[in-house]
Amino acid sequence: MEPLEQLYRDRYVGFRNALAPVAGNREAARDAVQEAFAVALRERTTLRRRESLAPWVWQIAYRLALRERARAHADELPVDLSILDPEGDPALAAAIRTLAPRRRVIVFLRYFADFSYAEIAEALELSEGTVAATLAQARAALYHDLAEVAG
Amino acid sequence: MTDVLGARFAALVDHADDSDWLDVRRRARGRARRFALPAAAAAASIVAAAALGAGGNWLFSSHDRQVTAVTHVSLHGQSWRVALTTRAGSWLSRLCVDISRPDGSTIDGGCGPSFSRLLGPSFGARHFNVAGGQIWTGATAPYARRVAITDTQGRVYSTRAIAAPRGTKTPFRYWALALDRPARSIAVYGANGRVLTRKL
Repeated sequence: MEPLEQLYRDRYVGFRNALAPVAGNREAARDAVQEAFAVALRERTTLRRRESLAPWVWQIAYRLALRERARAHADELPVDLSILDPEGDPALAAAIRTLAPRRRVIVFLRYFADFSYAEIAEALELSEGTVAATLAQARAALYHDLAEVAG
Repeated sequence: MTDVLGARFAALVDHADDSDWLDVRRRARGRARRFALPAAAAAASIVAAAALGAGGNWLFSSHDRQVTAVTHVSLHGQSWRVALTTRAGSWLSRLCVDISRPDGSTIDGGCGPSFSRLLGPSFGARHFNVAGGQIWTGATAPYARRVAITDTQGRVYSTRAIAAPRGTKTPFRYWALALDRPARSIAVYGANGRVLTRKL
């Protein structure tokens, strides 16, 4: 099995879940992930370093999702956050919604797509230090909100 | 501390696996084929055979002025095949729908007007109640770029409306969605920001 197919089989669900808040809903996220892997399949010979595979595919998917939202005038579309099952953990779901968009994407990449700090840094073109600091801030904000809810 | 947060995230995540590697490979081949179309155009006109092309995750073919568009939708992790057939170049043509279950057996959706009085040509929607939900599909007006359906619990499903390759000469844009629950409303988003909605 080639590395790209292995990556797809290992991480498809994580990619889709992490992309859903960007794409607007689960179906749009699925479409973007499918299309991104198709693009990657065609263009994989242009990739030099195998360790960059996951961030590279994520970048493609992320750009596709943003482009599709802009093309579809998606501001009119209600954003479907049902991917964050409110019945599963309503306090955490509510806390995530209060995070700033960049923090939220980093959190989703870490916890849903199982990206390492280095992969997040490469995918979002940030330094690892910035990723670590942003994640620490996001965690602190989440714990703060969760503590408030817990009373 | 981190582990606690990680465990809570794990409980929150949607674990449903609707991955489809064959669809990825189809899309990769489809785009390559679309790029190759200009080179193949001369040969196609000589042979005058069926036109063939792909857009999004749709595969189009035409024969005897009939255009057939095929795609797959995922419902509870299983892939359903959806095939729409219309007559090329005609708004008044009949729309025929065939649905294939994951086990390969088919549901003959029959043929009807390409648009219903209820929904009009902007939607051209048909739906089928299947095990575990509904499958919606349609051949919409040319200006449509996206179709969004909201189910009875407020969850939104949306997809692009895909234009057929030029050679097929069909005015429609094609779409299909699988819903976990019955639909409550449908909306078509146009390229110019126009939005049409209908309660169902």
